[in-house]
Amino acid sequence: MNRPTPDSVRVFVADFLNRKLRDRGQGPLNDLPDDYDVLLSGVLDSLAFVEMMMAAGEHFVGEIDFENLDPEKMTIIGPLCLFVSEQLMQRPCDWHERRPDR
Amino acid sequence: MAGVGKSDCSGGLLDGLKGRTGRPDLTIPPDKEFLVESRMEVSQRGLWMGFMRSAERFPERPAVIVHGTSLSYRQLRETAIRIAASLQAHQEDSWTPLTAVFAHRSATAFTGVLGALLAGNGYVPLNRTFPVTRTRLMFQRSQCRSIIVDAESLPQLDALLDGDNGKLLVVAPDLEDPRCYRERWPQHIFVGSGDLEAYSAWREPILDGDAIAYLLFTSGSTGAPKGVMVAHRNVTSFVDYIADRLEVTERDIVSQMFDLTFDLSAFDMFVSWERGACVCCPSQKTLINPGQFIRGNGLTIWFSVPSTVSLMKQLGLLKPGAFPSLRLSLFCGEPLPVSCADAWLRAAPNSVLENLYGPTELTIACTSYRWDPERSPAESELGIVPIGFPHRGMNVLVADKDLNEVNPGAEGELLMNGPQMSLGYWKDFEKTSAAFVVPPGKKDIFYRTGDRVRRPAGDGPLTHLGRMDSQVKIRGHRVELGEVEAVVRQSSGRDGVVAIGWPATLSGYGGIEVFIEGQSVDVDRLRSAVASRCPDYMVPRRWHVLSRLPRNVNDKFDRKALLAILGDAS
Repeated sequence: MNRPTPDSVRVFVADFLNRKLRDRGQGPLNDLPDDYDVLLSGVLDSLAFVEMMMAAGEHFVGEIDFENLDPEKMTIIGPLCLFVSEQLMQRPCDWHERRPDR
Repeated sequence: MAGVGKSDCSGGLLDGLKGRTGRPDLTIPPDKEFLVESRMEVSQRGLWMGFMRSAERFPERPAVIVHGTSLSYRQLRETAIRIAASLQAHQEDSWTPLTAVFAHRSATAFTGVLGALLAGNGYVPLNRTFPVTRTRLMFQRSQCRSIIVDAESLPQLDALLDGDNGKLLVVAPDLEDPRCYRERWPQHIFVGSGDLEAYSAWREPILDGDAIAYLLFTSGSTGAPKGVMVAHRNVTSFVDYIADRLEVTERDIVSQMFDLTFDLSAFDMFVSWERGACVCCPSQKTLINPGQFIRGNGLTIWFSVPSTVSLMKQLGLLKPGAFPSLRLSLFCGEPLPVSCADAWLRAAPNSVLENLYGPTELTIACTSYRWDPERSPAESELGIVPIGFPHRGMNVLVADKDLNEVNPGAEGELLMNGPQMSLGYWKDFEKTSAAFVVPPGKKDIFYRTGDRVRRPAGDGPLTHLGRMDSQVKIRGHRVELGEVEAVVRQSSGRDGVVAIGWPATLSGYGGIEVFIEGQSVDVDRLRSAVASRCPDYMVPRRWHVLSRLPRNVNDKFDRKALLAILGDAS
C-alpha cells in the first residue's frame, strides 16, 4: 500500500529525479535536502515537474489540486513533499476507493 | 551611418537576388531575376521602429513584466539604447551584422533583443537550457562577433567561448565587475554594467534591403541545426497585418510563453510593442501553473502551443469561466485539436480563439483561422482545427509530388510565398535551393512547407493533415528525426539508426524512440553522449538494439515494421 506520507513522497520524488538524471546519462543525487529546488537545480523543467506531480497522483492513487499549488514554494523539496502528502491525505475516500488492489 | 544591417554573407538562394544591387554573390538564376525589382519596391522599416514609436507615445506604460518586475517603455528604451550604443562603439565593419542574445526569461533578454536591433544587427537567440555544445555550435555557425549575456547565462559563458580564437565583444549588462573575464579572455572585449555607453552615443541604423532581423536555428536533417534568416521586412509585414487584425492596443497584456529560440516569441514582443501593449513573461516556476499566471496578471491575450491546453486540461485547470480577462486566445506551433479549443473557450468565455499556422521560414505565422462555434466543427478535419486563410499578401499553392497544383478538394503539400517568405538558410545554398523552389508553370519562388493540407473546394479554410516528411512535433518543438538519427549515428559509430516519434498524440508525439542496428551497444554511454548534444525533448526515451533492422523491398529501413514493434510492445 502506497501511503502518501511526507517521507514516502520524498522517496518517490528522489526516485523520479534519479530516473530523469539517468535518462540524461547523469549519476544519481547523493542527497536531497529540504531546500533543494528541483526546478532551479535544472533537474526538471516545468513540464517535467507537472509530469512528476501527475505520476505522484498515480503512484499514491489520489488527486492533487493544482489550483492551490504555489509555484514559488512547490519546487522546493520540503514544502513539496508536505503539500503532496497533505493533498493526497485530504482525499482519503478517493485514495481508498481508487486503490488498484480493490 | 551606424552599423548597417546587411546580410552579405548569408549565401542563401534568395541572397543571390541581391546580384542586381551590386553586391557579391551573383548566383541568381536568370529565370528569377524579375524578383529583384519586386523586392526592391518593398519599403524598409526597422523592426525597432514600432517599439520606439510606442516609447514616445506611452513612455510610462509597462512594456515588459518579467519575474514580477515591470519595465516601462522609457526604461526599456534607455537600457536597450545604451546596449546598442555599446555595440556600435566597439563592433568592427568587417564583422557579421549579427549579435547573439544569450539570455532566458530575464530583463536582459528583452533589452538584448532590442539592443541588437537598435545597433543595426540581427539577433541570434541562444538558450542556456540547451546543452552548451549545441549552443556553441549555433553561436559558431552564426559567425556572430558580438554577444549579449544575462546574469543566469554567465556561468556557461566560458564553455561557449571555448575554442573561439577571434576577437569577440561581450556585453553583460548585469555584470558589475567584468575584470575576471578580461583576465581569462584577454583577446575579447567585455562591457559590464558600468561600461555601457551613454544614451546620446547611439546612432539610428540605416537598413540594407535584406537586413536580417533574427537568425533562428531550427532542427536540421544532417545533424546540424539550420539557421533561418528572417528579414526586418518579413517581420514588419507580419506585425502590420496581425496587429490590425487582432486590434491590439496599449491596454493589452500579452503572455510570453515562448522562449526566444522559438520564433513565436517574436509575435509576443513585436506585436505588443508595435501598439504599446505589455509583454508578460512568466518565470520558469510560474510556468508550472499557467492558470495562476493568467489570473494574477490579468492577461488579455494568450498565445501558446496547444500542448499547454492539453496539459492544463489534464490538471483540471480549465474550469468554466476560469479566465474572464482574456479577450483573445491564440494557438500555434502544432495542430490544435477541436477538443482543446472547446475546453479552452469554456475556461475563457470572453475570448475569441484563433488557430495560427506557419513555419519559421514564413515568419511566425502565415495563416489564421478564427474559431466559430457554429461553423468550425464542420470545417475541422481529423478532429483538428483548420489552419485557415493566408495572411495579407501571402499566396498559397497546394501541390502534388511534382509540384503541380492539385484540384480543389484534393490534398497535397502546402507551398507559400509572399512578403513573409524569409531569405533562406544561413550559409546553406543547397538546403535553401531544395526548400525554396519555382514550381512548374510558376514564375515565383515558393517555400515548400512539408505540410500536408487539403486545398479548399470553395471559399473554405485550409485544413492541416500532417507532415510530408520526417519532421515531427514533440511537446510543441519541431524536431527533424533525421537530426536525432544523425547524432545517434555519430555518437554510436553505427550506421543503422532509425528514430521514430512515439506515441502519437493529438498534437504530435509524446517523445522519440530509437532503433540501432548492432550488438553490444553501450546504451547508457550513448544516451549520455546524445543528451550532451541535444535538448531534452530530442533525447530518445527508449533505445532498442536489434541485430538487424527490418527493411522494405527497396532495402530501406522499414519504418512501418518498426512502428509495429512499438505497437506490439505498448
